[in-house]
Amino acid sequence: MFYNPPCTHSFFVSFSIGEPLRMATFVPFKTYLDTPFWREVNKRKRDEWKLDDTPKPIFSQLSLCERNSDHCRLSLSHDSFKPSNGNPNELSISGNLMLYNTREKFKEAATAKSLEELMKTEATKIWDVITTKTWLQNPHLLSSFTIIAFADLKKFHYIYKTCIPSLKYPKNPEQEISSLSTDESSLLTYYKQTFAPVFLFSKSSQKALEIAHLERQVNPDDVLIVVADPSPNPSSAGRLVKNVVAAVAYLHPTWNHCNVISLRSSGSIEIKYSWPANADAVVQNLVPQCSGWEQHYSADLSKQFDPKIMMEEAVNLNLSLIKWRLNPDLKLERYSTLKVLILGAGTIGCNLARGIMAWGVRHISFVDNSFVSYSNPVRQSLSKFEDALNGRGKAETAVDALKEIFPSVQAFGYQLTVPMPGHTIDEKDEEQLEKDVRQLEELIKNHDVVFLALDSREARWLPTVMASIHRKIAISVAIGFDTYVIIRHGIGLRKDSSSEDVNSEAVPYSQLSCYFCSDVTAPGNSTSDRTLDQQCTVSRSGLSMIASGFAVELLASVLQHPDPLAAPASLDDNTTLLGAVPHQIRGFLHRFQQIHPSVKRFEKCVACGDLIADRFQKNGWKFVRDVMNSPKHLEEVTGLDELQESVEAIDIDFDDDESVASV
Amino acid sequence: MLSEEKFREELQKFVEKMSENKWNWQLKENGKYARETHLETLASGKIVSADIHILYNFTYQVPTLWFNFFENNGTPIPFDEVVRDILKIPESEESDSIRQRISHYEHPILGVLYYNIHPCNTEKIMKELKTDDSYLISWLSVYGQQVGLRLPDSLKLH
Repeated sequence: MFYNPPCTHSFFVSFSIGEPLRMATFVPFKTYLDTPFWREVNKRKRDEWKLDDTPKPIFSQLSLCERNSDHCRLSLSHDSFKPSNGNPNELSISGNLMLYNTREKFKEAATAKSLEELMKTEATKIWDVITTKTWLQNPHLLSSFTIIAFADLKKFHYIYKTCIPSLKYPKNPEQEISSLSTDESSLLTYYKQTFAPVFLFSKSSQKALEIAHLERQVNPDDVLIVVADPSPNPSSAGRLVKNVVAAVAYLHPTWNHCNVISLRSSGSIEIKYSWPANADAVVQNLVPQCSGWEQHYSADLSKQFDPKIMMEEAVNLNLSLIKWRLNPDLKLERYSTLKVLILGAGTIGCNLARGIMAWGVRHISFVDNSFVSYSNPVRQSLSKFEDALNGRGKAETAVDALKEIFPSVQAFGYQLTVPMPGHTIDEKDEEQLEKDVRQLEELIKNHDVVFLALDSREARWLPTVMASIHRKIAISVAIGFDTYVIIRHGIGLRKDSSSEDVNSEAVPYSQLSCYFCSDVTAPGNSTSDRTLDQQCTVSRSGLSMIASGFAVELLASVLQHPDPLAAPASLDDNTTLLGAVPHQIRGFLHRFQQIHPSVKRFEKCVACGDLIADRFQKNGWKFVRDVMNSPKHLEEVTGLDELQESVEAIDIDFDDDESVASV
Repeated sequence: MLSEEKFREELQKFVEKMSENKWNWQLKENGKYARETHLETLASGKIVSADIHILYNFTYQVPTLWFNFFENNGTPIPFDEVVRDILKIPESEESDSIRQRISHYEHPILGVLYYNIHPCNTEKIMKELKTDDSYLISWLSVYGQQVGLRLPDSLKLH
C-alpha cells in the first residue's frame, strides 16, 4: 500500500545513458512538520523562550530513501530542537527557527523586501563557507535553512515560511545523467561509517576519501563527488547538490565540469554537471543570486492542542470507535443532536446525565426544586461537600459539575417545583402555579426526551401528561430500597394506533403503558402520612447506578431503532442496531433478578389517558390546580371512580364446597 | 513475552538489519524506540507523511506499533480519511481482525494522539508464528502489514 519495496522507483522517469546535455534541474525542498513538532514549539515558547524571539537552532532530518514525492523532504519533529548527536546515523541539516511574538512582526518579516534581505544574509553565510574553503572541513555548512513563523498559542494557529538558500552559481549549468561508474554499496558503506554528507571517490585508487582532498585534484574526471541526497527523483539531484556544485566550481575556477554521485539508498544516480568555462568569471566579492523560499503555509491545530476541543474530539472519537469496530451503522448523531430533560437532579438524575453524556448527548437540562443536603454528595454523582455547605440548588450544582467534567456540554438548570396532585395550593399561589405549568410545558416541548427521575409518584404525574401530549420519549426511573423499575411511556396521541401491525407479538410504542397505567387510584400526596424512612428515598447504594444505567441504555437502544418513535416493546435482539428494547425493566436486588414485562396502556389512565389529555389541553393550569386540590378529580375525569364502584359492586360468592367438589 | 532489555537488543538488531536492506529505521532516545517516516501519495494525489514507531509496552511486555499521518503543515489526517484512504479498512472488516484493535491514544513519549494496535493479542500471535527469525521482524511481518508496511522481500518469513 504505502510502502514500496526499497530500490524500485514508483515513478521511474526513463532516461537514456549518454543523453544530450540539458539544463540541470535540482529538486526543491518542501518542509514537512508534524504535530509533535508544533507541540514542542508550544512548550518551548511558553516555558523557555517566552518573549525571546532570537533565532533558535533547529535540525532537520533528511532521508536517503525518499520515493513518493516531488520534493526533497525537510522534516521536522519533536526532536528537531536537539542536534542529532545522540543519533549520528542521520543525515541532517541545521537551521534556525525565527518565531515572532506577534502576527504583525511575522507579516513584517514576510514582506518581499524582508524575505529578500533574509535570503541574502543566509546566502552570504554559505558563500563565505565556500570562499573561505571552510566547507572542505565541514561540508555540512553548505546547506542551511531558516523558518520564519508565528504561533498563536491561544488559538493554536500557526503560520510559517521556510527558506533553504541555493546559490545560482555557476550560471546555467547543464547535466548529463549516466550509469554509476562505481559500486554503490561501497559508497553507502563509507557513508554509514562516516556520515559525511559530501565526500570524494577517487577513480584511480577506487577509494572513498574525505572531501578535503578535492583541493589537490587537478583533473575533474579523476574523482567523483559523492553527495548524500534526499532527492526522490531518479533523474534529478536535490537542491543540496546545487551548493556543492557551486563550491566545486569556485574551488577550481578552471574546471568546466564535475562528476557527482547523488547518493541514495533508494538508488543512486551519477550526474555530470558542466558549465561554460570561465563564462562566469567569478567576481570574487559578489555573492551570487540565490533562491529557496517555500510558499507560505498555515496550520490550525486547535483540535490537537486546545484542551476543550481536544476533549470533544476524544469523546467523539471514542464513540466512533464503537461505530467502527462493532456497529458500522450506528447513528451517533441521534445522541449528539438529542436534547434531554431530566426531571429530578437527585441520585438518579445525576447518574442519568453522566450516562447520556458519555453516549455523546450534548444538551442536558435539569429541573429540581431542592438544595444539596449533607446526605447527598456521597450518593449523587454531581455534587460535593462544598455544595451542601453552601446550600446550592441541585439543578444548578449538577449543571456546573457537568460543565466541569466536560466543558463542551450544553447544560441548563431550572429551579422549579413540579406541581403535584394532592399537594393543595392556596389561591395566592395560583399565579406562580400558572407560570410553573407553562414553564414545565415549554421545557418538555423543547426537548426530545424526558427522564422522570423525581422522588415521588405524584411528581411524575404532570410531566407524564405533558410528555404524552407532546409525543416525547418519556422514561420513568424509580427505585425502592432494593427494587427498581424503568418504564418507557407509550408515545402519546394514538391516532395511528389502528394501523399498527396486529399480528406482531411486540406491543407498538403507542400502545405502551405509562408509569400510572396499572394504577386504579389516582396519585395523591404520598409523603403526608409517612415516617421519615419512608419519605426519603432509602436505597441500597448501588441501586441508583444500576437503574440509571439501564435507563440510559434503554434510551440508547430506542434511538437506534429505524424510527425511534415507533420502537415497539420487544425482547428480540434484532429490533434495533443495539438489540432489544423492552417496555419495562424491573429489578429485584435481593435476588439479583430482573424481568421485562410489556404492558398495554390503560385507556382510562389518570396520566396518559385521552380524556386527561383533552382536559389539560382545554383547561391548562386550571385543570392542574383542580387536580392538586383534589386528586379525586382525576378519577372523575377518567371515569375511574365508576370503575372502582363497579368493582366493589360485584359480589363474588366463593363456594367452598364447589371448589372441593371439583377436585 | 519479551523483557525490555531483550526488546532493546532486538530493536537494535532490527534497525541494523533494516538499514542493510535500505530501510530508513532509526533508533530514538538511546534505543528506547525505533522510528521510520516516509511520504506517501494517496489515491487523491495528496501527499502525506507517515510516521511509524515501534515502542515497548510494559504491561503486555511486547512491542507495539504506533503510527500517524500528517499533512505537510503538521495537521494530522482526519480519522475518517485515515480509515478510508490510508488504512483502507473495509466497513465489513471482521471483528476479530488485528485491524479492529487499532486505537487512538496519547503517544507515551510524544504526548499527542497517535494510532496504535493494541498489544493484547500479540503474545498469542507470536506463539503461533514460531519462527527462528528475529522476533521483531516476525512481529512486523504480521503487524506492519495491517498498516500497509511490507517487509523487503529479502526479509520475508520462510
